Amino acid sequence: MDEVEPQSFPLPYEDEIEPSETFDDDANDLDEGTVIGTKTYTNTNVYQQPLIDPYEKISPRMKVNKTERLEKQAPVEFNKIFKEDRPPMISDIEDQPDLDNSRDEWKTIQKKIDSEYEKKLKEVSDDAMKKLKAFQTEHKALLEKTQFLLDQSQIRSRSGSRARDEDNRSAVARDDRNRFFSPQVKKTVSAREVARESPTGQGSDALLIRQLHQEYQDVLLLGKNMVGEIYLVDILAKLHFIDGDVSNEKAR
Amino acid sequence: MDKSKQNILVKSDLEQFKGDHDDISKNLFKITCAILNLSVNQRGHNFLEENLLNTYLDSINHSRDDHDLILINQLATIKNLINRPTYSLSDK
Repeated sequence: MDEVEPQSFPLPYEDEIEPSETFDDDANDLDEGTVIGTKTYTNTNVYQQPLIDPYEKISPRMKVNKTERLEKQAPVEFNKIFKEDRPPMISDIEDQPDLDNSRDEWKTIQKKIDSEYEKKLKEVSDDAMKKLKAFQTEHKALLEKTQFLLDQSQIRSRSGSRARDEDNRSAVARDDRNRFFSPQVKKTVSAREVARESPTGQGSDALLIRQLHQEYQDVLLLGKNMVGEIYLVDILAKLHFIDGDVSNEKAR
Repeated sequence: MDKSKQNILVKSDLEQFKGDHDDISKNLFKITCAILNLSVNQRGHNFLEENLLNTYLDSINHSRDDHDLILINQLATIKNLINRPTYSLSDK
């Protein structure tokens, strides 16, 4: 591969550089009034620029354009223009007496709009608060209902087995009631013996007696005829002490 | 059976019978407890004795062919038991 030699480009300001410039040349370049060596500069303000026309540095084409532009455009006199032809100015507005009235009207309208907006905002917030309260009460009621149902289900599950035992015992007792009116009086198993055999037999006599007494009182109260009387046969039939076949015959 | 002599009045709302049948209704409850072999150990020893009940039960003749007669006999037994004074249910 051939090595490519770096191409050198001439700098635009190379010709302006004077490599052979000496201190004497520098001294000649200084402005008038300056002192070389021990002498001091008279112009102490180093930031002061010489008074130069800025347009001199601009290209001649631009100079022409500027002059042409200045010649063509006449200076605008705003006071001579009609108000209708120019945009409104603050001085024009402030001088009008009717504008104060319109300002007051606008303020009143603005106040009305603000008050209506506040009213609507308040109504919306009131509605939202009402809905929130209703939701809270509904939620609370639902919670209470759920808790109640939960408690009820727990109570039912706890007392379920106990109630089943009691039902079985009372069913056996009811079946055993008609033994007095059957030939197998002394052979049948009594409710008391069933209660004794059950694991929760202690105190079951009192419970059975209480249930029987409640049933007996209900029959005495509700089993009366039109005159308000109740007889022995009616009580025995309603307490299921009479055999089913016999009671059916009685009904016939 | 409703028109039988054994079918006695147990309770009535009529003024003339009010209070007269309290002993009967109490005794009937005790009889029902005795039929179910439930001893009412309340208010002292005021319960129907087993022997007394067995005596009454023995008087019932179950060997009869007529079921109505057996039933009437049973009703008569209960009637005799409940017609006794309240505190005379025990022979002790």
